[in-house]
Amino acid sequence: MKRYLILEDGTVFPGEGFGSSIITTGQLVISNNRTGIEQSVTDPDAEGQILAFTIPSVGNSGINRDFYESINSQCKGVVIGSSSRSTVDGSISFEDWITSLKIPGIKNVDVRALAKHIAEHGEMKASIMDTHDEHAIDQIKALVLPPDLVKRVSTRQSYPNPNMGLKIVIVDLGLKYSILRQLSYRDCNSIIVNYNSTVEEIEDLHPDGIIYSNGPGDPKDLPRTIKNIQILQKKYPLLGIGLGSLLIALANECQIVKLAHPHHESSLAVKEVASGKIDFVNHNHSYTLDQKYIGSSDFIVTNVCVADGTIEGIRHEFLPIMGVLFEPEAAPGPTDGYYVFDEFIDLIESVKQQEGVRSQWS
Amino acid sequence: MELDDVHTILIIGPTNSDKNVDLSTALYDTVNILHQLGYKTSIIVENPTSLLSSGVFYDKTMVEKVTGENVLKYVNKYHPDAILPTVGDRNALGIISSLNGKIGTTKILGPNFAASLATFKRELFIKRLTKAHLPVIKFISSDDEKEIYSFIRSIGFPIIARRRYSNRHSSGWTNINNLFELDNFMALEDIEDTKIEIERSIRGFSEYSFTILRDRYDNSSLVGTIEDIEPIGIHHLDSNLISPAISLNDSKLQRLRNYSIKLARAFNIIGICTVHFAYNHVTNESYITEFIPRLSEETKFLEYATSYPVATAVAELCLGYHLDKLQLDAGSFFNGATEPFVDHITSRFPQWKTPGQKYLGPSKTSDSSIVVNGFSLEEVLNKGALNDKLNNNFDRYNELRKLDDDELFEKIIHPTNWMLDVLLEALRRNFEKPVLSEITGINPPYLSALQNIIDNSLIIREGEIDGKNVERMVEMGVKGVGHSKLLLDSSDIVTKTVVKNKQAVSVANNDFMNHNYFVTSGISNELELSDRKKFVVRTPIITSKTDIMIRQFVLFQLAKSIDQNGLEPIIIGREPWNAPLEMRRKVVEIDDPHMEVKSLGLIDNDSVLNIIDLSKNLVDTDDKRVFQFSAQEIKNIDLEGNTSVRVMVVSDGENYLAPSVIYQAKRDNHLYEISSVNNFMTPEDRADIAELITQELEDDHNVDIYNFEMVKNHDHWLVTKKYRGMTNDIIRHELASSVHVIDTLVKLLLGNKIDSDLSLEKIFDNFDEKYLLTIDDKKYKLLDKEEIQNKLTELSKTEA
Repeated sequence: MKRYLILEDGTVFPGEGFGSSIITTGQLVISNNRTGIEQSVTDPDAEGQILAFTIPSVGNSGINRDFYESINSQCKGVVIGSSSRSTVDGSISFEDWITSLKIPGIKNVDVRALAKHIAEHGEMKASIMDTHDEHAIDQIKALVLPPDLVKRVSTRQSYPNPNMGLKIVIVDLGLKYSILRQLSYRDCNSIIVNYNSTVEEIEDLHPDGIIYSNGPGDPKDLPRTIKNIQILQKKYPLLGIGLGSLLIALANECQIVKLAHPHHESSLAVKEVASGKIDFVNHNHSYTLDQKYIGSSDFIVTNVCVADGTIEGIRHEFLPIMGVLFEPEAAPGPTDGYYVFDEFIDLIESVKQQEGVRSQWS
Repeated sequence: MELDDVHTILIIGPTNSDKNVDLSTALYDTVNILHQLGYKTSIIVENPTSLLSSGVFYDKTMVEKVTGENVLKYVNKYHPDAILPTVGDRNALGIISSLNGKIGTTKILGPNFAASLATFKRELFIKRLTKAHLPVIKFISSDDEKEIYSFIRSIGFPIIARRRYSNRHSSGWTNINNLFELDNFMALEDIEDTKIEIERSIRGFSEYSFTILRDRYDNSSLVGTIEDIEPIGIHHLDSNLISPAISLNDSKLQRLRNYSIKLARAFNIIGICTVHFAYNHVTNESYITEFIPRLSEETKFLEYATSYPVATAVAELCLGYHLDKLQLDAGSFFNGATEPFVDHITSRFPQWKTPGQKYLGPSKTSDSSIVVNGFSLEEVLNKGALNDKLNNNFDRYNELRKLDDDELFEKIIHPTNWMLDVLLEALRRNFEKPVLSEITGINPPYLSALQNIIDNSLIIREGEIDGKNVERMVEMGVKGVGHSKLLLDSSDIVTKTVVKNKQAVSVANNDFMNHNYFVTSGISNELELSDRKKFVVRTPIITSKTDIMIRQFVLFQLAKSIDQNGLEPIIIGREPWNAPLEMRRKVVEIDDPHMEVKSLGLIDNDSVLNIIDLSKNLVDTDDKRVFQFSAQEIKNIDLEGNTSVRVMVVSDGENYLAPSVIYQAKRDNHLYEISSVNNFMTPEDRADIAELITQELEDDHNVDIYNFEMVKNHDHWLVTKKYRGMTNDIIRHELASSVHVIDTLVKLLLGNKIDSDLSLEKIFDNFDEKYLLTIDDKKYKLLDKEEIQNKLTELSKTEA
């Protein structure tokens, strides 16, 4: 069935529809992920987004339920160039999978031209429709995307991910399961809470450390969470990932900026400033920290993107707070960033040790 | 920072063997960057053609047999600070592993002794990998029956086994699937001192190769992945290759990536390392089967696929540069810390000289390859392996359809180079895909792609293309002028055939541009041309390594000359050509396997000044600008005689130059050739030859290169052959002559003229200091004037 991907600026990309036949509208994001279609489609970061995958022959490697990053799919639509009808491992084909998730898709789109268009004109709203008349374009222009993306993806009820090690409270802004996988691997006893949980609710859980997770949308839409961070950061070691680290920065009078070329790529190099060590990690963010404000803050930059110099990691000079803009849990992408979890655990351990010494003295 | 104590470097060059791959562009890039960074480089090379230049970058060029002995001799005499083996193919690693402890303080750059040795010694390879907890196929070499049986009990069936004799020879591998077959194998005659080698069988596993770069600070990046369509058991370079490896999901890809990095770390390889894997998608087992710590066919293919300047980067990494602080040339920054992301598929399809069927196995049989790009599997299959214009697939189809089902099944069981055609026929007869996949080891998505191609061709044959299925046609990569036109006629814009850039689309390297394109379908054309007048060169299909080297050389010299003369070189070919890095930003390269560029009209006809056609029948011969190079034999008088000369002449249509004369003599069953003999000819000989050329060219008024073969019979020169156009001699002429023949030709094509009153001295003008002596077409020597004079005297004495 013939369908059209229509961009906010009126540009039309024709293609063939698959999956659900409903009309869908969302923020169009160009994903240069090499692999990990399952992870991308189920990543809560993709809430409200239409994902355009630039890889060729999508779905050749099969679809694996074990790689989901949340229980349900999150994105509003998918755009691809070509796909494979059968898979290496005999699992369900990509198109059948998208159909089963009831997501609208469009294929045979010139994703190269689409990616170039977005790179030149910036991220914009888009719609997958059956027609491409003036009226359809006006509709997209008039549409206001909902600001409460985190509310939609954050857990309503707290739940545990029990283990025998350190107690970590994870504030769910759009948590990916792979963060839990990494914490489980390190024996962390995690409790996942709603993004709007109060300071008291979190303190009642007696955490050894708190993680502010990744998530979708504009960080400035979450003033309450920022306020909570301002209180909690004085008492507990904090790790921010993606959206979480932006919130930590905002809580400390840093400013954020939208990237001219957003990072949506599963393998992009970041450099550890102190050692010069280069790691390839998954990036999925459109915002970063404004370099102008970092100098006057108490943060030091720990990681930068090798390609464009974007700030990718920060650490507080006096408090046990660290944050990374990239996704250390990978999924998809190289696993070079796993060390961030080890560093956070070391940070907690050292704080605990110091507290132990302090209590002995007192 | 880079290594402080390295200033002089000896490069172990490629050998002349046809078995080795052509790495001449990689060699040129390597030496060019070393030269620009201020290093003094020398090289030992067997065939100077592979230098792609007359050796301007080199401190010393030794045209010698590339052996450990000669390398050692050089090291003892000149004491270079370091040896670089990355461009010397497998032979260079063999030499490195033999130099252990013999070269004093001279450093080995890139792969070290242990890494080099482990590529040859299976036991060492297994030991080091096992120690590093890397998955390696279990192996035993023993003459103790008990030990063998207990080993097999631990690994289970199936296995492969062979006998290794004391003279280092061995029997071929035998597949053993059960105890009964094993007992039979063990019961075979037992020769003394024979060891039995047994490995877990990985036949039918999928094959992948991962190439990583690593700097001396332990930063690594994965520059590319390749998967074989055919399974393990068929030589990697006889398989159809696909890059990137699209059948690996994220977890599999990251696992193999981590193994590759771990392996490079375990051997402390600086520079490049390609790791081969066997992967079983049913059991999720994976094994490392081999690793290649040097530039190779894979790295060359990845340069085509990703445009990442692999050879340049490797040279700098070997010298201690930081991965993210590389230079494309002195002063031009390049961020090597990128894992190139491509939005298209690049495939390498092997080619055989003869059209017949060849059985495929662990030994390589193919002669060359075609590389194509596309956005879907179907598109690359249609352009490459199933492109009738390249592979005579229609003849194959006609032959296969005559077979009955049993005969066809036989072909499926015993893989040949017609495998994809055989599978197409099997699918046409509705053989079941899972069964075909099980027997052939070819993964289901490839069979689905073939099925799509069949469905697609049915639609075309029955003329049922309409708005409903036109997208599907585009997705299948339906190509060919006829079909494209059909699609262009459709009202929908999605069906346009355009030219797209081959550059990796990663954000990491926006500043690194090249002009490398391929024809495909889409809505936006990306071909970017300058305002300069164009000079188009159509390139030939390559069938052997020698052809590749000639093409590399001629195209590079042509492109360089076109650019230097103020024009824009456009190189169009059915298969890609990668210019050396220094030219990549100046030359427009278009891969055009279906020969569509012309009909697309994307290059303004008025802007094209000339077309040089090195291929056949790719352009209209009526086009007055077209410049045909075909060997046109005019005379062929058989004359008895052992001595002859080959004169190359560049003519502007009226006057000519003959700056290079090759002397050929047969003595003692050896064939000698000496370049630039014009510097040794007597005035009488020159006058005779000039007169003959004038006579021969009397009726030809073309700007062209002419080649004459002449013999001296009873003191008179006779023309025995006349060719118009470039022959293989062009390289020898170009290397030997101080007059650049190709550049002169380009200048003449631009309208320059040769003076009409040139003296004989000027016509034959050539002021070389070194001359090329070739013996039996394989051994090359660079000699000075006196040495050549002695050789000529010696030869004429024998003649007398």
